[in-house]
Amino acid sequence: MTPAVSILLPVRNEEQHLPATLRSLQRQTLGDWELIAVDDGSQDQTPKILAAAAATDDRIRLFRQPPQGLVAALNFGLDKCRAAFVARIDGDDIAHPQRLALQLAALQQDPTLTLVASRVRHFPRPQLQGGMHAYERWQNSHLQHADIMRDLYVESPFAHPSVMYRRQVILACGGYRDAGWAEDYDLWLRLALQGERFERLPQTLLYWRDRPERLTRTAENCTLEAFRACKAHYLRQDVLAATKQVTLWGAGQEGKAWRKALQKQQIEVGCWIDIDRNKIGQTIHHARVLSPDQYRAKDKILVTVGAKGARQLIRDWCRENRLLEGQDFLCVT
Amino acid sequence: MKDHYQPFLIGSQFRVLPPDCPVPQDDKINLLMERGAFGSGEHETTDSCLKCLEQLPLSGNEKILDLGSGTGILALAALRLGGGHVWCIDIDAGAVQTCRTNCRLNQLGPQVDHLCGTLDDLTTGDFDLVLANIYGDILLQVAKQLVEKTRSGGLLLLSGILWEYNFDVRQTYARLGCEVLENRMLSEFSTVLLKKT
Repeated sequence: MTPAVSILLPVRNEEQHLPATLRSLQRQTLGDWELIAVDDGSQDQTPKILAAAAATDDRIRLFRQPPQGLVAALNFGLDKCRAAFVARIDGDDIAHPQRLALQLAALQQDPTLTLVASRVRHFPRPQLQGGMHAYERWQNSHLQHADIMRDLYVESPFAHPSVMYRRQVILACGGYRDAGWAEDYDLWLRLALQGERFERLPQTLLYWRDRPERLTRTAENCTLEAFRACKAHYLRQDVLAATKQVTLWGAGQEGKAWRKALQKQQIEVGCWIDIDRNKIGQTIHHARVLSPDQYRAKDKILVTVGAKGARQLIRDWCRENRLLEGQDFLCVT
Repeated sequence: MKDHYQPFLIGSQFRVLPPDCPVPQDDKINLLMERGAFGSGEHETTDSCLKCLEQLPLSGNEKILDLGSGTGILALAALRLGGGHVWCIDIDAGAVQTCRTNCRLNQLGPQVDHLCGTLDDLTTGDFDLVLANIYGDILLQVAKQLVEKTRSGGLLLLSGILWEYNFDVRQTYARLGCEVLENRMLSEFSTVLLKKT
């Protein structure tokens, strides 16, 4: 029998937290699932923990392979998933007991949806840094497809272990790719590019464990530079298709880093917009820095200012100047 | 300032009501509380804690610790259910004052000791029953101390544990020599009853 949901768990050396993850899956109100656990060359007790769980719960299917990395493990596991719907989880996270039921219901009720995420909550929180608090708030504030799409290039919109998606769509899209940046953001952007629809459930259904050695912090493909490269790559195929020159709002370090990322996509900076009086009037990399009032060009504007509150002010200015978000300007930081 | 609120039922046996409210004569155990307001999560976890507490056999001789006592509702309930003497600790001075007032309102003052501080400030130990309706991350931080303060064979009723901490709390206390007697998973929080073996 094909289960209703396949849970995709790539895992390596998670002996400490894996039992809690497994228990949270076994507590699901929806019991019709299979767990595809791909052990990617663990050297600790992870295989034993999984084998013991599989011995007493035939919904758990264990696959072992030599260490090949996350993308290979994800694609291998995706291939083993039998259900039409796949829920991701990592070996240190906790799923709310209604997670599978609610996400499955949402996807079944709306055939136009490809992916349903949920709100997430980091834990433990005492040592959680400000940036992660802000990211959690930002992510959780985007529920509807239009909101998610509007800020698609600001940050990766979904915690990977919080999503459930249609397996066939992901396979048809090429599955996971190792392109030198985060494999999940790469997938979301590819899906968006082909017009797939997303939604986030308002319930907090995934508890996202934070710890110093977390991949988001340590992996080379999760650096700010890698994220910019990823965004520039997809912007080139999306809003910036056939665009040779843009305006960058923000002539600080982030803006300059963006200039480099865009240059690799053969996109030049025509001018900069900034409100810093010390910068206005300067020429940076052959492009003038203008104040918003001085700006008259018609190039598309990429907003690289991420300071708290600034994005909304810039959005307001753009709207007052009849610029359409997603077409004439886009927030990318 | 006193909060005005409507009397409400909580647990299976309790009614919480303001001090100036007429006390109904029925089978409920009435607790007069200066402040009756709980956050929604706090209400859920207190309710669960009380239901668990109601099942425990209390003889009148127990030495009870209420860590993070807040309004004192658990301490009052434990005494009304027949518990012996409660030590209430809270880090918040305002909460300690409220707890003291509530104990007096229910004529249970002599059976309660109050302490504003942390477990480090508590000089007594060998508790028969530990009540702790506080966040899971705190329960993890104080696990060793809390178990040390409990006598062998004593019970620990831990609540206020968000879902994500439930497994870690049970595992941590189990490793410190406790046996899980009951694990109640609520909509967002959980309650765990343990016995120190």
